[in-house]
Amino acid sequence: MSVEIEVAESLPHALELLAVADPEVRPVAGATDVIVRLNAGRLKARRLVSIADLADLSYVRPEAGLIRFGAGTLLSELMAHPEFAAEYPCAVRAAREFASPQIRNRATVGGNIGNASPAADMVPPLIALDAQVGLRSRRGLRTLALEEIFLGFGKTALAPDELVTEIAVPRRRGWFQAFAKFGSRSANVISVINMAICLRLSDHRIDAARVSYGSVAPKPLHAVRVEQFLTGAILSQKLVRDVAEVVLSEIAPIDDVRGSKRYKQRLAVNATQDALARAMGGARA
Amino acid sequence: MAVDSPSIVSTPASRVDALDKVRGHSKYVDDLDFPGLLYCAVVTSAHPHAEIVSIDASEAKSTPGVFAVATAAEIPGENQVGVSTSDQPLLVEQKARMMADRLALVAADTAENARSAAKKVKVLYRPLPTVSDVDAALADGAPPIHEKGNLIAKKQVIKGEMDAGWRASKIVLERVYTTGYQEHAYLETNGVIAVPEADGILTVYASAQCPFYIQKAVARVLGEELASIRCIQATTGGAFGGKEDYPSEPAACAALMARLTGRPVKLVYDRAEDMLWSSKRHPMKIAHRLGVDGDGRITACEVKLYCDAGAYNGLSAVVAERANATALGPYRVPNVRVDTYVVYTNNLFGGAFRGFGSPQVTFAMESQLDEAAAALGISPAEIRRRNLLRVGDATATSQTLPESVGAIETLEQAVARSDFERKRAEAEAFNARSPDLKKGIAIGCCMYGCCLHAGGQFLEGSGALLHVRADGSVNLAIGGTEIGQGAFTVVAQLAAEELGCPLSSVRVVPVNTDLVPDSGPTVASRTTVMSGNAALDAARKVRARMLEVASQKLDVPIEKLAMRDGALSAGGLTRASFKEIAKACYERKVNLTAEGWYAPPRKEWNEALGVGEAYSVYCFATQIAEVSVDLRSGRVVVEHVTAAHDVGRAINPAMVTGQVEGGIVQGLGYALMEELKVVDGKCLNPNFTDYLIPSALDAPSVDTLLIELPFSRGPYGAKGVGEPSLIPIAAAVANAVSFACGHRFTHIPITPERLLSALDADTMIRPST
Amino acid sequence: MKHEELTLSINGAKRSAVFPSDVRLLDAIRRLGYTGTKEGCGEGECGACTVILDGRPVDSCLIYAKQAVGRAIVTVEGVGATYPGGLHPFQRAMVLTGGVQCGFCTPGVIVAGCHHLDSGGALDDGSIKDALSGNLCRCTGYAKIVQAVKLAAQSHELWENGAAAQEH
Repeated sequence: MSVEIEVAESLPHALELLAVADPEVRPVAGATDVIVRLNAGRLKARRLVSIADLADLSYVRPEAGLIRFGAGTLLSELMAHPEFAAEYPCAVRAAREFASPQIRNRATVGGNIGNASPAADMVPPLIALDAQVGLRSRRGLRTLALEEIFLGFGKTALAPDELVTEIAVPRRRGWFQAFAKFGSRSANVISVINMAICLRLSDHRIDAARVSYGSVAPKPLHAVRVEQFLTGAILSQKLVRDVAEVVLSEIAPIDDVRGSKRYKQRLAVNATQDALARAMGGARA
Repeated sequence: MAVDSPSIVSTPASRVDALDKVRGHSKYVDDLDFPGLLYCAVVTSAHPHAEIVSIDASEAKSTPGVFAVATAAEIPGENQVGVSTSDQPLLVEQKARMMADRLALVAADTAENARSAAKKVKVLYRPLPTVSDVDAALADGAPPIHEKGNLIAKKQVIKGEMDAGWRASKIVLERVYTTGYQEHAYLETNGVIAVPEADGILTVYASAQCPFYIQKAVARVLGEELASIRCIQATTGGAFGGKEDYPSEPAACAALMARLTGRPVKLVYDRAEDMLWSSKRHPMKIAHRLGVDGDGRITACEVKLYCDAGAYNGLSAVVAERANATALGPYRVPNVRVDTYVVYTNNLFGGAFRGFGSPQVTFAMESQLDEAAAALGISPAEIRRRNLLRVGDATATSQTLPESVGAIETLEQAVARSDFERKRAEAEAFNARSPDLKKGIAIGCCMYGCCLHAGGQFLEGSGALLHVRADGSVNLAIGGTEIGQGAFTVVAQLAAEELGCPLSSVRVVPVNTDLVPDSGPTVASRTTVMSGNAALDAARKVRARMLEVASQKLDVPIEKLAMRDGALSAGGLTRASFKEIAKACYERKVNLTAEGWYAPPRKEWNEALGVGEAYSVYCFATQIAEVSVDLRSGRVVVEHVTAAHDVGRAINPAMVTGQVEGGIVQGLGYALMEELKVVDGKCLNPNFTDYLIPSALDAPSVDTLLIELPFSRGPYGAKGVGEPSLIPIAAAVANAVSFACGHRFTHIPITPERLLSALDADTMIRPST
Repeated sequence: MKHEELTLSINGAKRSAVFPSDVRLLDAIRRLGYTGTKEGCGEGECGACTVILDGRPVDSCLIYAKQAVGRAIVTVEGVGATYPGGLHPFQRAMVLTGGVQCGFCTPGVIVAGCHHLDSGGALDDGSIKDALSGNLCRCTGYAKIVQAVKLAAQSHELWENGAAAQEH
């Protein structure tokens, strides 16, 4: 299927090009997923508005209580930003294991969000970090919590004229942060499942817990039940054992070409337990 | 007759084509362009098994940009591409037997236009029940895929007396092993260009191992003589057996469209097309019964082997022949019964793949040996030590091995270098105290006939053509192809050494069916011996003429002359250069062109009993794999491999270790992560996203030991290494993972999912006594 | 399908041709005559199509040529441009170690490896393999490619220090 490419010269230009509000007129940045899906006929578009390399969307701005970054910032740049890396090890870990170096040099968080794949690797860490997402159109700006963006498999809350422009993440230095992804190879795999956990600990007491999984539901999952189970609890062998059932009660993976339901369940449980065990052992990640 | 203390042979000389490749200058099929080039697209079946009711190409034909559409009716010659059995049409008319069956071809001005016109060809099917595994195919009342039924061939090996063998055993181990598909995943997909020349000849440029197969196949489909078809091998980006017979099919397609349109036609598969349509390693089911006495000596072995060939024979019966003849591995087995069934199904097309049936049977045999060792309480190294073949022993097919049997040497060197026994004890101790991370170390041994099986020996002759020019530069044409394995460099080294010229003076030209006689396929790790000997034959003839002229010119007896590294010397003094002698020959009208030929001696073979000289020469190898297993994720990491290979003589040691390193990584992919998901004849993951081949991060450290026990009929004693480099690794890895987990894995690949699921359902199977 | 003239800066030279609007950078490069860059999978898995774009290695099969207009592209044909003989130390090293077999992955490996060296990447096995993790090779098992990166690093320093060209 042929598609027309228009290269936006600035953010306002991009919003103008998208103002036609046509679902077949889509923004594209790194295109690392869009181009594959278009060629496979899994995506319909008649025009792509390229927002790749827009300076307006590529920045990392540390502020007092949070860090903002442009949705068009390359993953390779996020990974290399010292303050971002110090603040959000789970997100950096996800970026480091994301695809390949070549893809990290084009892929963006905005794109990872916009694709709405349940396997997206950057999403669970950012959900677990309480990320807020800025969406712009010519009509204005609105902000959503990251998990609110995902409505279902491949579906986001973005209107056809809207663009993810910024992600804002509260400061989380000092929290225990873990990210895990699974696949049959050491590098460059689409996750069978992935998981992010952020814990605010006082000694072994979990004051706050944020947990998110990918590929265990039609959209990235914010695991509120697991969070409730963990919040206020003391890290212990028993807690690590008992979390298994809570995880199983909340996730709903399916059999597909990447793995069976049972396998995904097991991985989600194991990853959660291993992260808690590490936290118990005094690790930070 | 080898040169004493050679200066080019046995050195790690740089490849002759490396500079072009690192610059990006080498031209592969898709890099070639011709004026008026058209592009071919293929319409394949929407069903794995169906009668074709009608094919309507009218809309496709009238699409702008389309030059021609062909169905079976347009084939001028024979609608047949079966390389051994005539069971396979180029374009199906009545019945589709696999989803890769071709129904029609489109030639258009761009690849995009050709593919989109192909989608407009309307086919009406009457689906038939899908036969999706060997059991279903052989069951009573199974739908016949071909008229004569679903059994393509049956092979056997019968030796000794089975009852006596079982009676003599202390332990009998019986288990069924299964292996999945493997995709070659060469980085360059299949591609051909068929170019009609002004003089009526059709030239086919192909990414290929066997230009002669292509020449024959195209002539057959077009109904033309061999003289009017010329096949030239383009630089080929990997093959591994997947470009042995298979390229004849896209070649015949492109050739047909070239004749129909009168234009050059290119057909280059995209990755999904290549994975869906081209041949694969055969899935096998191996029912294995092994009897061992109290000392760990094998007393009897009975194997039933089932090969899923897919819809057409192709080379399946030949693959099965090798699996059949080598099912027992490099061991002394007095009583043998192997029954091999080659079966049609509606699955993917099985074909040649590095190892050619050996990796599957090696996995089964090596697993059984480890089980036997465990049951007897002896080391896996020891049980092999007691059973490996030695010079003078007879193989499972009763072939006595007179020379160059490096089995024991490879075992001992690999065991010593890897510190096998100590590491094994350490791993056992570690595993006892580590609940979630396990370690394993284990052995895989193989033997491999580095030439064609006796049944194919009529193909085994190999030719060469060598010119030395007046300026001392050398052109060499051989019939074997360069597919990345280094064939051109090896023959150049051999020729240069023999002629006495610098390696840089020798240019090996692209393989062209016009230049050399049919030299058989570049397969079976045979090229160093076959093309190497042919090149040496030609070089010796020219050398003799040059030395004769030199002797006259310098008035020195021939016996006192030496030509080496481009210099002619007598009594240790340089008297002339190679170039000067070449020029002198031209001035005296002495012919410096010679052809070379090599054919191995005839092998005696009894097909009914599967007994005799199965192969002319065998290579032996032992690979020892060290793994760690994470029981939380199911992931296996291969940490280190020690590989000992009996290669006869390493003409280029760097290239030999390169083959070993590459074979090990390709083989560990087969063992751990490469899985084609085929359901009801349909492949669900024809792409690199979901079919995973090892990346750099998956590569273990590899320690390669080259053992040189010369083979008297090999060039400088060389044998081969292309396939032995891969064959043992999956067996070694599976053994190591089994050891680490305390569970016998009987299927490969051992993906993380399968590993976790098997440990869940663990039942320790004890051997019967 | 709309066709338009696109101008791309490849290895320092401006090259133009008429292309469909959605032509991939890979196809545009190849149609402009730079056939060193290869297509192995079309889905960003194999890295055979790796080029440098604005100083970063990327998969050119995943980029629309229009997105690369006005940006600096370096292909395998250009990585050695500033070195004697037009050969980057990594290209020389690959010839010496035997990190090339069929050669189809080689252009992508060369581009990724040259970038790792030119950007001062770490030279332990893990870092080198990580830098090459987006380049699949089916022939070599990667060992001699990794050796070549290390070998090139030694001579790389010599170039940096202005030493005379080493003839291999």
